[in-house]
Amino acid sequence: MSTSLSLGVVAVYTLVLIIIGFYGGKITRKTREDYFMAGRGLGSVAVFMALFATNITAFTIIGHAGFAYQAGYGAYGYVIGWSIFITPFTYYLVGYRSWLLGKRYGYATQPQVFGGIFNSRAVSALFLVLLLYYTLPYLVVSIIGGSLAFATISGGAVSYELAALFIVGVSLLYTVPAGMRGTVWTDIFQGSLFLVVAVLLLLAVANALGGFSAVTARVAQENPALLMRSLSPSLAPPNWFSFTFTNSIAVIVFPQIFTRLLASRSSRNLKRVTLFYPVALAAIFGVSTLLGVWGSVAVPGLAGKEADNIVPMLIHRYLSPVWMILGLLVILAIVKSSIDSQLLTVSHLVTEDFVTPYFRLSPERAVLLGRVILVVFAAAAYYIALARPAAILAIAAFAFSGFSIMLPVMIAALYWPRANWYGACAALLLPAVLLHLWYLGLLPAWTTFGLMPVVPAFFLAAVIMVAVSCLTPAPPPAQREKTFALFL
Amino acid sequence: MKKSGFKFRFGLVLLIAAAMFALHNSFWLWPLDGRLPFLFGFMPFAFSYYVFYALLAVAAMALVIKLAWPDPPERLLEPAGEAEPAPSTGGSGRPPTGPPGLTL
Repeated sequence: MSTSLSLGVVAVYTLVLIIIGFYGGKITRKTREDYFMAGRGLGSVAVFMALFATNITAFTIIGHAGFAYQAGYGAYGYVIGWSIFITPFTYYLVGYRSWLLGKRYGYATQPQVFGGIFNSRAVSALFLVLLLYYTLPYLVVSIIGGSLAFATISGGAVSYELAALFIVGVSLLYTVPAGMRGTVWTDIFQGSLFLVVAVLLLLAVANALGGFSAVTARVAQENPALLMRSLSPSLAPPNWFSFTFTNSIAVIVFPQIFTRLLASRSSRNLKRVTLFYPVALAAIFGVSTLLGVWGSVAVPGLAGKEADNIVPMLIHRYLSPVWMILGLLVILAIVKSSIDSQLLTVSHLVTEDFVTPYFRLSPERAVLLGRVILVVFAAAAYYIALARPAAILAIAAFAFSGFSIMLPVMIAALYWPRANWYGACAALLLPAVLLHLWYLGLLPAWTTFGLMPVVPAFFLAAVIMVAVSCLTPAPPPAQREKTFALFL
Repeated sequence: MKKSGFKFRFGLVLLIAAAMFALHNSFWLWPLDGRLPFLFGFMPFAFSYYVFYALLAVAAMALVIKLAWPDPPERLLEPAGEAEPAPSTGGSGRPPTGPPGLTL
Protein backbone atom coordinates (compact mmCIF):
# COMPACT_ATOMS: atom_id res chain seq x y z
CA MET A 1 0.00 0.00 0.00
CA SER A 2 2.70 2.38 1.10
CA THR A 3 5.05 1.39 -1.74
CA SER A 4 2.39 1.75 -4.41
CA LEU A 5 1.31 5.09 -2.94
CA SER A 6 4.97 6.27 -2.95
CA LEU A 7 5.41 5.18 -6.55
CA GLY A 8 2.18 6.91 -7.51
CA VAL A 9 3.21 10.20 -5.87
CA VAL A 10 6.68 10.09 -7.45
CA ALA A 11 5.07 9.30 -10.82
CA VAL A 12 2.73 12.31 -10.55
CA TYR A 13 5.62 14.55 -9.49
CA THR A 14 7.71 13.34 -12.44
CA LEU A 15 4.84 13.83 -14.84
CA VAL A 16 4.36 17.43 -13.66
CA LEU A 17 8.05 18.13 -14.30
CA ILE A 18 7.94 16.62 -17.76
CA ILE A 19 4.78 18.52 -18.70
CA ILE A 20 6.29 21.80 -17.49
CA GLY A 21 9.49 21.02 -19.40
CA PHE A 22 7.71 20.22 -22.65
CA TYR A 23 5.51 23.28 -22.40
CA GLY A 24 8.62 25.40 -21.78
CA GLY A 25 10.22 23.80 -24.82
CA LYS A 26 7.17 24.50 -26.94
CA ILE A 27 7.39 28.25 -26.46
CA THR A 28 11.20 28.41 -26.56
CA ARG A 29 12.48 29.81 -29.83
CA LYS A 30 15.28 27.99 -31.60
CA THR A 31 18.01 30.45 -30.69
CA ARG A 32 20.89 30.13 -28.21
CA GLU A 33 19.70 33.27 -26.41
CA ASP A 34 16.24 31.82 -25.84
CA TYR A 35 17.29 28.22 -25.13
CA PHE A 36 20.12 29.01 -22.71
CA MET A 37 19.01 32.44 -21.33
CA ALA A 38 15.18 32.34 -21.57
CA GLY A 39 15.44 35.45 -23.75
CA ARG A 40 16.76 37.42 -20.70
CA GLY A 41 13.16 37.86 -19.65
CA LEU A 42 12.97 36.36 -16.15
CA GLY A 43 10.80 38.22 -13.61
CA SER A 44 11.49 38.63 -9.87
CA VAL A 45 9.91 35.39 -8.68
CA ALA A 46 11.42 33.39 -11.54
CA VAL A 47 14.96 34.72 -10.91
CA PHE A 48 14.63 34.26 -7.18
CA MET A 49 13.36 30.69 -7.37
CA ALA A 50 15.84 29.81 -10.11
CA LEU A 51 18.73 31.05 -7.97
CA PHE A 52 17.44 29.70 -4.70
CA ALA A 53 16.46 26.23 -5.92
CA THR A 54 19.78 25.97 -7.77
CA ASN A 55 21.71 27.11 -4.69
CA ILE A 56 20.09 24.57 -2.33
CA THR A 57 21.47 21.06 -2.71
CA ALA A 58 21.03 17.70 -1.01
CA PHE A 59 23.60 18.90 1.53
CA THR A 60 20.96 21.16 3.11
CA ILE A 61 18.76 18.32 4.28
CA ILE A 62 21.27 15.48 4.44
CA GLY A 63 24.74 16.83 5.23
CA HIS A 64 23.79 19.94 7.18
CA ALA A 65 21.28 18.18 9.44
CA GLY A 66 23.95 15.55 10.13
CA PHE A 67 26.45 18.28 10.98
CA ALA A 68 23.94 19.99 13.32
CA TYR A 69 23.32 16.59 14.97
CA GLN A 70 26.99 16.56 15.97
CA ALA A 71 27.94 20.24 16.33
CA GLY A 72 24.69 21.62 17.74
CA TYR A 73 22.87 24.90 17.11
CA GLY A 74 26.15 26.60 16.16
CA ALA A 75 26.11 24.64 12.87
CA TYR A 76 23.48 27.13 11.69
CA GLY A 77 25.77 30.15 11.86
CA TYR A 78 28.84 28.23 10.77
CA VAL A 79 27.39 26.88 7.54
CA ILE A 80 24.92 29.53 6.45
CA GLY A 81 25.42 32.58 8.71
CA TRP A 82 27.72 34.58 6.46
CA SER A 83 25.90 33.38 3.32
CA ILE A 84 22.70 34.98 4.58
CA PHE A 85 24.26 38.37 3.87
CA ILE A 86 27.16 37.84 1.51
CA THR A 87 25.37 35.74 -1.11
CA PRO A 88 22.78 38.43 -1.93
CA PHE A 89 25.49 41.07 -1.49
CA THR A 90 27.62 39.45 -4.19
CA TYR A 91 24.52 39.37 -6.40
CA TYR A 92 24.73 43.16 -6.11
CA LEU A 93 28.51 43.55 -6.17
CA VAL A 94 29.23 41.24 -9.10
CA GLY A 95 25.81 40.31 -10.43
CA TYR A 96 24.42 43.75 -11.17
CA ARG A 97 27.40 45.07 -13.17
CA SER A 98 27.74 41.76 -15.02
CA TRP A 99 24.02 41.90 -15.82
CA LEU A 100 24.49 45.43 -17.23
CA LEU A 101 27.32 44.22 -19.46
CA GLY A 102 25.25 41.23 -20.52
CA LYS A 103 22.29 43.42 -21.48
CA ARG A 104 24.50 45.82 -23.41
CA TYR A 105 26.89 43.46 -25.17
CA GLY A 106 24.96 40.18 -25.21
CA TYR A 107 27.31 38.36 -22.85
CA ALA A 108 25.80 35.23 -21.36
CA THR A 109 28.59 33.46 -19.47
CA GLN A 110 31.61 34.32 -17.33
CA PRO A 111 34.12 33.57 -20.12
CA GLN A 112 32.25 36.12 -22.26
CA VAL A 113 31.84 38.79 -19.58
CA PHE A 114 35.40 38.68 -18.27
CA GLY A 115 37.03 37.81 -21.58
CA GLY A 116 35.10 40.80 -22.93
CA ILE A 117 36.15 43.22 -20.19
CA PHE A 118 39.83 42.32 -20.64
CA ASN A 119 39.43 41.81 -24.39
CA SER A 120 41.38 38.61 -23.97
CA ARG A 121 40.90 35.13 -25.33
CA ALA A 122 43.30 33.84 -22.66
CA VAL A 123 41.11 35.12 -19.80
CA SER A 124 38.04 33.69 -21.49
CA ALA A 125 39.71 30.27 -21.92
CA LEU A 126 40.95 30.20 -18.32
CA PHE A 127 37.47 30.96 -17.01
CA LEU A 128 36.00 28.22 -19.20
CA VAL A 129 38.52 25.55 -18.18
CA LEU A 130 38.45 26.36 -14.46
CA LEU A 131 34.65 26.58 -14.30
CA LEU A 132 34.22 23.24 -16.06
CA TYR A 133 36.93 21.68 -13.92
CA TYR A 134 35.21 22.71 -10.69
CA THR A 135 31.60 22.22 -11.85
CA LEU A 136 31.83 18.68 -13.23
CA PRO A 137 32.86 16.95 -9.97
CA TYR A 138 30.30 19.10 -8.14
CA LEU A 139 27.65 17.81 -10.55
CA VAL A 140 28.73 14.20 -10.04
CA VAL A 141 28.71 14.60 -6.27
CA SER A 142 25.21 16.13 -6.46
CA ILE A 143 24.06 13.00 -8.30
CA ILE A 144 25.81 10.73 -5.78
CA GLY A 145 24.31 12.61 -2.79
CA GLY A 146 20.83 12.69 -4.27
CA SER A 147 20.89 9.03 -5.25
CA LEU A 148 22.09 7.91 -1.82
CA ALA A 149 19.37 9.99 -0.17
CA PHE A 150 16.72 8.61 -2.54
CA ALA A 151 17.85 5.02 -1.93
CA THR A 152 17.96 5.54 1.87
CA ILE A 153 14.61 7.23 2.18
CA SER A 154 12.95 4.61 -0.01
CA GLY A 155 14.03 2.05 2.60
CA GLY A 156 15.96 0.01 0.05
CA ALA A 157 13.02 -0.35 -2.35
CA VAL A 158 15.00 1.69 -4.90
CA SER A 159 18.66 0.77 -5.43
CA TYR A 160 21.38 3.40 -5.64
CA GLU A 161 21.90 2.68 -9.35
CA LEU A 162 18.20 2.99 -10.13
CA ALA A 163 17.95 6.20 -8.08
CA ALA A 164 20.85 7.73 -10.03
CA LEU A 165 19.27 6.69 -13.33
CA PHE A 166 15.94 8.19 -12.26
CA ILE A 167 17.48 11.49 -11.13
CA VAL A 168 19.63 11.97 -14.25
CA GLY A 169 17.03 10.56 -16.66
CA VAL A 170 14.12 12.70 -15.49
CA SER A 171 16.33 15.80 -15.35
CA LEU A 172 17.27 15.17 -18.98
CA LEU A 173 13.66 14.55 -19.99
CA TYR A 174 12.58 18.07 -19.10
CA THR A 175 15.87 19.97 -19.46
CA VAL A 176 16.74 18.88 -23.01
CA PRO A 177 13.55 20.17 -24.66
CA ALA A 178 12.99 23.14 -22.39
CA GLY A 179 16.36 24.85 -21.88
CA MET A 180 16.51 27.55 -19.24
CA ARG A 181 12.86 28.62 -19.46
CA GLY A 182 11.61 25.12 -18.65
CA THR A 183 14.17 24.54 -15.90
CA VAL A 184 13.27 27.86 -14.28
CA TRP A 185 9.60 26.87 -14.27
CA THR A 186 10.47 23.51 -12.74
CA ASP A 187 12.65 25.39 -10.23
CA ILE A 188 9.62 27.46 -9.21
CA PHE A 189 7.58 24.28 -8.77
CA GLN A 190 10.32 22.34 -6.98
CA GLY A 191 11.53 25.28 -4.86
CA SER A 192 7.99 26.00 -3.61
CA LEU A 193 7.48 22.29 -2.96
CA PHE A 194 10.59 21.85 -0.83
CA LEU A 195 10.12 25.10 1.10
CA VAL A 196 6.52 24.33 2.04
CA VAL A 197 7.01 20.63 2.77
CA ALA A 198 10.20 21.27 4.79
CA VAL A 199 8.32 23.67 7.11
CA LEU A 200 5.41 21.20 7.44
CA LEU A 201 7.90 18.45 8.21
CA LEU A 202 9.43 20.55 10.99
CA LEU A 203 6.00 21.16 12.53
CA ALA A 204 5.13 17.44 12.32
CA VAL A 205 8.42 16.33 13.92
CA ALA A 206 8.09 18.97 16.66
CA ASN A 207 4.57 17.74 17.36
CA ALA A 208 5.70 14.12 17.50
CA LEU A 209 8.49 15.01 19.95
CA GLY A 210 6.18 16.83 22.35
CA GLY A 211 6.35 20.35 20.94
CA PHE A 212 9.07 22.93 20.22
CA SER A 213 9.73 23.86 23.85
CA ALA A 214 9.69 20.30 25.16
CA VAL A 215 12.21 18.95 22.67
CA THR A 216 14.48 21.98 23.19
CA ALA A 217 14.35 21.44 26.96
CA ARG A 218 15.37 17.82 26.38
CA VAL A 219 18.35 18.94 24.30
CA ALA A 220 19.38 21.39 27.05
CA GLN A 221 19.09 18.68 29.67
CA GLU A 222 20.57 15.67 27.87
CA ASN A 223 23.17 17.36 25.67
CA PRO A 224 23.81 20.94 26.84
CA ALA A 225 27.07 21.15 24.84
CA LEU A 226 24.95 21.46 21.67
CA LEU A 227 23.83 24.89 22.85
CA MET A 228 27.34 26.28 23.09
CA ARG A 229 29.47 26.97 20.08
CA SER A 230 32.67 27.21 22.11
CA LEU A 231 32.36 23.53 23.10
CA SER A 232 32.32 22.18 19.53
CA PRO A 233 35.83 21.53 18.12
CA SER A 234 34.54 21.70 14.53
CA LEU A 235 33.27 25.25 15.15
CA ALA A 236 36.61 26.54 16.49
CA PRO A 237 37.16 30.21 15.54
CA PRO A 238 39.91 29.52 12.92
CA ASN A 239 37.53 27.09 11.16
CA TRP A 240 34.61 29.48 11.54
CA PHE A 241 36.59 32.39 10.09
CA SER A 242 38.04 30.27 7.25
CA PHE A 243 34.63 28.95 6.28
CA THR A 244 33.48 32.48 5.43
CA PHE A 245 35.79 32.24 2.42
CA THR A 246 34.42 28.97 1.01
CA ASN A 247 30.79 28.25 0.25
CA SER A 248 29.37 31.73 0.93
CA ILE A 249 31.44 33.74 -1.52
CA ALA A 250 31.67 30.88 -4.02
CA VAL A 251 27.98 31.02 -4.93
CA ILE A 252 28.21 33.99 -7.32
CA VAL A 253 31.08 32.22 -9.13
CA PHE A 254 29.01 29.07 -9.81
CA PRO A 255 28.28 29.35 -13.53
CA GLN A 256 24.70 28.10 -13.08
CA ILE A 257 24.04 30.97 -10.65
CA PHE A 258 25.88 33.62 -12.66
CA THR A 259 24.02 32.77 -15.87
CA ARG A 260 20.64 32.92 -14.14
CA LEU A 261 21.42 36.39 -12.79
CA LEU A 262 22.20 37.54 -16.33
CA ALA A 263 18.83 36.20 -17.49
CA SER A 264 16.93 38.69 -15.30
CA ARG A 265 14.62 41.01 -17.22
CA SER A 266 15.49 44.10 -15.17
CA SER A 267 17.69 45.48 -12.46
CA ARG A 268 14.63 45.90 -10.22
CA ASN A 269 14.09 42.14 -10.29
CA LEU A 270 17.64 41.59 -9.07
CA LYS A 271 17.08 44.06 -6.23
CA ARG A 272 13.98 42.19 -5.07
CA VAL A 273 15.91 38.91 -5.18
CA THR A 274 18.54 40.27 -2.78
CA LEU A 275 15.77 41.15 -0.32
CA PHE A 276 14.04 37.73 -0.49
CA TYR A 277 17.25 35.74 -0.30
CA PRO A 278 18.35 36.18 3.36
CA VAL A 279 14.96 35.11 4.70
CA ALA A 280 14.68 32.08 2.41
CA LEU A 281 18.21 30.86 3.18
CA ALA A 282 17.70 31.34 6.92
CA ALA A 283 14.37 29.48 6.76
CA ILE A 284 15.47 26.33 4.92
CA PHE A 285 18.73 25.95 6.88
CA GLY A 286 16.89 26.78 10.10
CA VAL A 287 14.55 23.82 9.51
CA SER A 288 17.49 21.56 8.75
CA THR A 289 19.45 22.71 11.83
CA LEU A 290 16.52 22.18 14.21
CA LEU A 291 15.78 18.71 12.80
CA GLY A 292 19.45 17.75 13.16
CA VAL A 293 19.79 18.98 16.76
CA TRP A 294 16.45 17.47 17.83
CA GLY A 295 17.58 14.22 16.24
CA SER A 296 20.49 14.09 18.69
CA VAL A 297 18.04 13.41 21.52
CA ALA A 298 15.31 11.64 19.54
CA VAL A 299 17.67 9.18 17.80
CA PRO A 300 20.85 9.32 19.92
CA GLY A 301 24.11 7.48 19.36
CA LEU A 302 24.73 8.04 15.65
CA ALA A 303 28.40 8.46 14.79
CA GLY A 304 30.20 9.93 11.78
CA LYS A 305 28.41 9.57 8.45
CA GLU A 306 25.49 7.74 10.12
CA ALA A 307 24.28 11.13 11.36
CA ASP A 308 23.73 12.27 7.74
CA ASN A 309 20.61 10.09 7.68
CA ILE A 310 19.04 11.76 10.68
CA VAL A 311 16.13 13.36 8.79
CA PRO A 312 14.98 10.11 7.11
CA MET A 313 15.44 8.38 10.48
CA LEU A 314 13.28 10.95 12.29
CA ILE A 315 10.56 10.56 9.69
CA HIS A 316 10.79 6.78 9.78
CA ARG A 317 10.68 6.56 13.59
CA TYR A 318 8.20 9.29 14.50
CA LEU A 319 5.93 10.02 11.55
CA SER A 320 3.46 8.12 9.41
CA PRO A 321 4.55 6.60 6.04
CA VAL A 322 2.86 9.48 4.22
CA TRP A 323 5.55 11.76 5.61
CA MET A 324 8.18 9.43 4.20
CA ILE A 325 6.69 10.09 0.75
CA LEU A 326 6.71 13.84 1.33
CA GLY A 327 10.29 13.63 2.61
CA LEU A 328 11.21 11.77 -0.56
CA LEU A 329 9.65 14.53 -2.65
CA VAL A 330 11.64 17.18 -0.75
CA ILE A 331 14.89 15.32 -1.39
CA LEU A 332 14.06 14.81 -5.08
CA ALA A 333 12.99 18.43 -5.56
CA ILE A 334 16.14 19.78 -3.92
CA VAL A 335 18.49 17.45 -5.77
CA LYS A 336 16.95 17.77 -9.21
CA SER A 337 16.57 21.53 -9.17
CA SER A 338 20.35 21.77 -8.75
CA ILE A 339 21.33 19.01 -11.16
CA ASP A 340 19.21 20.27 -14.07
CA SER A 341 20.75 23.74 -13.88
CA GLN A 342 24.27 22.32 -13.58
CA LEU A 343 23.73 20.11 -16.62
CA LEU A 344 22.28 22.96 -18.65
CA THR A 345 25.10 25.30 -17.65
CA VAL A 346 27.85 22.86 -18.56
CA SER A 347 26.21 22.44 -21.95
CA HIS A 348 25.85 26.22 -22.23
CA LEU A 349 29.51 26.88 -21.44
CA VAL A 350 30.78 24.33 -23.94
CA THR A 351 28.39 25.45 -26.69
CA GLU A 352 28.86 29.21 -26.18
CA ASP A 353 32.51 29.42 -25.31
CA PHE A 354 34.12 26.47 -27.02
CA VAL A 355 32.07 25.32 -30.00
CA THR A 356 30.47 28.55 -31.26
CA PRO A 357 33.65 30.67 -31.37
CA TYR A 358 35.40 28.05 -33.49
CA PHE A 359 32.65 26.73 -35.74
CA ARG A 360 30.12 28.74 -37.70
CA LEU A 361 26.73 27.27 -36.80
CA SER A 362 23.19 28.30 -37.55
CA PRO A 363 21.08 29.11 -34.44
CA GLU A 364 19.11 25.86 -34.86
CA ARG A 365 22.26 23.75 -35.15
CA ALA A 366 23.83 25.48 -32.12
CA VAL A 367 20.76 24.64 -30.01
CA LEU A 368 20.76 21.06 -31.31
CA LEU A 369 24.44 20.74 -30.49
CA GLY A 370 23.79 22.17 -27.01
CA ARG A 371 21.19 19.45 -26.45
CA VAL A 372 23.56 16.72 -27.64
CA ILE A 373 26.31 18.02 -25.34
CA LEU A 374 23.82 18.08 -22.46
CA VAL A 375 22.97 14.40 -22.99
CA VAL A 376 26.64 13.43 -23.36
CA PHE A 377 27.60 15.19 -20.11
CA ALA A 378 24.64 13.68 -18.28
CA ALA A 379 25.63 10.19 -19.45
CA ALA A 380 29.26 10.76 -18.40
CA ALA A 381 28.19 12.15 -15.00
CA TYR A 382 25.87 9.14 -14.48
CA TYR A 383 28.66 6.71 -15.34
CA ILE A 384 31.12 8.41 -12.93
CA ALA A 385 28.44 8.56 -10.22
CA LEU A 386 27.99 4.79 -10.52
CA ALA A 387 31.72 4.23 -10.00
CA ARG A 388 31.75 6.67 -7.04
CA PRO A 389 35.53 7.27 -7.16
CA ALA A 390 36.94 8.67 -3.91
CA ALA A 391 38.96 11.24 -5.86
CA ILE A 392 35.77 12.87 -7.14
CA LEU A 393 34.60 13.53 -3.59
CA ALA A 394 37.96 15.08 -2.73
CA ILE A 395 37.91 17.29 -5.84
CA ALA A 396 34.33 18.39 -5.20
CA ALA A 397 35.15 19.22 -1.58
CA PHE A 398 37.82 21.60 -2.73
CA ALA A 399 35.86 22.84 -5.75
CA PHE A 400 34.14 25.41 -3.52
CA SER A 401 37.56 26.82 -2.63
CA GLY A 402 38.45 26.85 -6.31
CA PHE A 403 35.34 28.87 -7.16
CA SER A 404 36.00 31.28 -4.27
CA ILE A 405 39.50 32.22 -5.36
CA MET A 406 38.21 33.32 -8.76
CA LEU A 407 36.14 36.05 -7.12
CA PRO A 408 38.96 38.64 -6.70
CA VAL A 409 39.47 38.65 -10.49
CA MET A 410 35.74 39.14 -11.10
CA ILE A 411 35.55 42.04 -8.63
CA ALA A 412 38.71 43.70 -9.99
CA ALA A 413 37.41 43.40 -13.55
CA LEU A 414 34.18 45.17 -12.62
CA TYR A 415 35.52 47.86 -10.27
CA TRP A 416 39.14 48.65 -11.13
CA PRO A 417 39.76 50.16 -14.58
CA ARG A 418 43.52 49.63 -14.21
CA ALA A 419 43.09 45.82 -14.00
CA ASN A 420 44.41 44.10 -17.11
CA TRP A 421 44.47 40.66 -18.68
CA TYR A 422 48.01 39.90 -17.47
CA GLY A 423 46.88 40.39 -13.88
CA ALA A 424 43.69 38.38 -14.46
CA CYS A 425 45.55 35.39 -15.97
CA ALA A 426 48.15 35.37 -13.20
CA ALA A 427 45.50 35.75 -10.47
CA LEU A 428 43.43 32.91 -11.92
CA LEU A 429 46.34 30.51 -12.44
CA LEU A 430 48.81 30.89 -9.56
CA PRO A 431 46.36 30.66 -6.63
CA ALA A 432 44.68 27.66 -8.33
CA VAL A 433 48.07 25.90 -8.58
CA LEU A 434 48.87 26.73 -4.94
CA LEU A 435 45.45 25.48 -3.82
CA HIS A 436 46.18 22.14 -5.48
CA LEU A 437 49.61 21.96 -3.82
CA TRP A 438 48.06 22.64 -0.41
CA TYR A 439 45.31 20.06 -0.86
CA LEU A 440 47.76 17.46 -2.17
CA GLY A 441 49.96 18.06 0.89
CA LEU A 442 52.92 19.20 -1.20
CA LEU A 443 53.27 22.44 0.76
CA PRO A 444 53.91 22.47 4.54
CA ALA A 445 50.80 23.06 6.67
CA TRP A 446 52.27 26.12 8.42
CA THR A 447 52.10 28.06 5.14
CA THR A 448 48.32 28.42 5.61
CA PHE A 449 48.80 30.03 9.07
CA GLY A 450 46.42 27.56 10.70
CA LEU A 451 43.56 28.52 8.36
CA MET A 452 41.93 26.62 5.51
CA PRO A 453 44.04 26.91 2.31
CA VAL A 454 41.29 28.94 0.64
CA VAL A 455 41.99 31.96 2.86
CA PRO A 456 45.64 32.57 1.87
CA ALA A 457 44.80 31.59 -1.74
CA PHE A 458 41.99 34.16 -1.84
CA PHE A 459 44.17 37.02 -0.57
CA LEU A 460 47.01 35.89 -2.83
CA ALA A 461 44.68 36.13 -5.83
CA ALA A 462 43.81 39.72 -4.84
CA VAL A 463 47.47 40.68 -4.35
CA ILE A 464 48.58 39.07 -7.63
CA MET A 465 45.75 40.78 -9.52
CA VAL A 466 46.85 44.19 -8.26
CA ALA A 467 50.62 43.67 -8.44
CA VAL A 468 50.75 42.14 -11.93
CA SER A 469 48.30 44.69 -13.34
CA CYS A 470 50.38 47.56 -11.94
CA LEU A 471 53.61 46.12 -13.35
CA THR A 472 52.23 45.61 -16.87
CA PRO A 473 50.71 48.00 -19.42
CA ALA A 474 47.35 49.55 -18.58
CA PRO A 475 44.35 48.61 -20.75
CA PRO A 476 43.76 51.05 -23.63
CA PRO A 477 41.30 53.88 -22.78
CA ALA A 478 38.78 52.70 -25.38
CA GLN A 479 38.66 49.25 -23.80
CA ARG A 480 38.13 50.70 -20.31
CA GLU A 481 35.49 53.07 -21.66
CA LYS A 482 33.57 50.17 -23.16
CA THR A 483 33.06 48.65 -19.70
CA PHE A 484 33.13 51.51 -17.23
CA ALA A 485 31.01 54.00 -19.19
CA LEU A 486 28.10 51.70 -18.35
CA PHE A 487 28.62 52.01 -14.61
CA LEU A 488 28.30 55.78 -14.21
CA MET B 1 24.13 60.10 -9.67
CA LYS B 2 27.42 62.05 -9.63
CA LYS B 3 30.59 59.95 -9.77
CA SER B 4 32.12 61.48 -6.60
CA GLY B 5 28.82 61.01 -4.77
CA PHE B 6 28.72 57.40 -5.87
CA LYS B 7 32.22 56.78 -4.53
CA PHE B 8 31.19 58.03 -1.10
CA ARG B 9 28.01 55.97 -1.16
CA PHE B 10 29.91 52.90 -2.32
CA GLY B 11 32.34 53.45 0.57
CA LEU B 12 29.35 53.29 2.92
CA VAL B 13 28.23 50.07 1.23
CA LEU B 14 31.64 48.53 1.92
CA LEU B 15 31.37 49.64 5.55
CA ILE B 16 27.99 47.88 5.78
CA ALA B 17 29.57 44.70 4.40
CA ALA B 18 32.46 44.99 6.89
CA ALA B 19 30.01 45.46 9.78
CA MET B 20 28.04 42.37 8.71
CA PHE B 21 31.30 40.40 8.47
CA ALA B 22 32.25 41.49 12.00
CA LEU B 23 28.78 40.59 13.31
CA HIS B 24 29.12 37.11 11.80
CA ASN B 25 32.58 36.55 13.30
CA SER B 26 31.42 37.84 16.71
CA PHE B 27 33.35 35.35 18.85
CA TRP B 28 33.13 37.75 21.82
CA LEU B 29 29.40 37.00 22.04
CA TRP B 30 29.82 33.23 22.24
CA PRO B 31 29.97 33.16 26.07
CA LEU B 32 26.29 34.23 26.01
CA ASP B 33 25.31 30.93 24.34
CA GLY B 34 24.44 29.07 27.53
CA ARG B 35 23.23 32.04 29.55
CA LEU B 36 20.38 33.72 27.71
CA PRO B 37 16.80 32.33 27.82
CA PHE B 38 15.46 30.63 24.70
CA LEU B 39 13.66 32.91 22.24
CA PHE B 40 10.03 31.75 21.90
CA GLY B 41 10.95 28.86 24.17
CA PHE B 42 12.91 26.92 21.55
CA MET B 43 15.65 29.09 20.04
CA PRO B 44 18.94 29.14 21.97
CA PHE B 45 21.14 32.20 21.45
CA ALA B 46 23.42 30.41 18.94
CA PHE B 47 20.33 29.94 16.76
CA SER B 48 18.23 33.06 17.43
CA TYR B 49 21.28 35.26 16.76
CA TYR B 50 21.12 34.23 13.09
CA VAL B 51 17.37 34.73 12.90
CA PHE B 52 18.04 38.36 13.82
CA TYR B 53 21.08 38.38 11.55
CA ALA B 54 18.83 37.40 8.61
CA LEU B 55 16.48 40.29 9.35
CA LEU B 56 19.46 42.62 9.65
CA ALA B 57 20.75 41.30 6.31
CA VAL B 58 17.46 42.28 4.64
CA ALA B 59 17.75 45.78 6.15
CA ALA B 60 21.41 45.97 5.07
CA MET B 61 20.56 45.00 1.50
CA ALA B 62 17.71 47.54 1.44
CA LEU B 63 20.23 50.18 2.49
CA VAL B 64 22.74 49.04 -0.14
CA ILE B 65 20.03 49.33 -2.80
CA LYS B 66 19.14 52.83 -1.62
CA LEU B 67 22.75 53.98 -1.42
CA ALA B 68 24.47 52.59 -4.47
CA TRP B 69 22.24 50.56 -6.76
CA PRO B 70 20.83 52.93 -9.38
CA ASP B 71 18.37 51.82 -12.03
CA PRO B 72 20.31 52.04 -15.28
CA PRO B 73 19.12 54.51 -17.94
CA GLU B 74 17.34 52.73 -20.79
CA ARG B 75 19.77 54.07 -23.39
CA LEU B 76 22.61 52.16 -21.73
CA LEU B 77 20.74 48.92 -22.05
CA GLU B 78 20.16 49.12 -25.78
CA PRO B 79 22.15 46.26 -27.27
CA ALA B 80 25.38 47.47 -28.84
CA GLY B 81 25.21 47.17 -32.62
CA GLU B 82 27.79 45.70 -34.90
CA ALA B 83 29.00 49.24 -35.52
CA GLU B 84 30.05 49.61 -31.88
CA PRO B 85 33.82 50.21 -31.83
CA ALA B 86 35.48 47.05 -30.56
CA PRO B 87 38.96 47.45 -29.10
CA SER B 88 41.28 44.66 -30.05
CA THR B 89 44.27 44.81 -27.76
CA GLY B 90 45.38 42.83 -24.77
CA GLY B 91 44.46 39.47 -26.24
CA SER B 92 45.41 37.52 -29.29
CA GLY B 93 44.28 40.17 -31.76
CA ARG B 94 41.89 37.76 -33.46
CA PRO B 95 38.73 39.05 -35.08
CA PRO B 96 35.55 39.21 -32.98
CA THR B 97 33.95 35.80 -32.58
CA GLY B 98 31.66 36.21 -29.58
CA PRO B 99 28.93 38.73 -28.85
CA PRO B 100 29.17 42.17 -30.50
CA GLY B 101 32.20 44.10 -29.38
CA LEU B 102 34.02 41.10 -27.95
CA THR B 103 37.41 40.29 -29.34
CA LEU B 104 38.59 37.17 -27.66
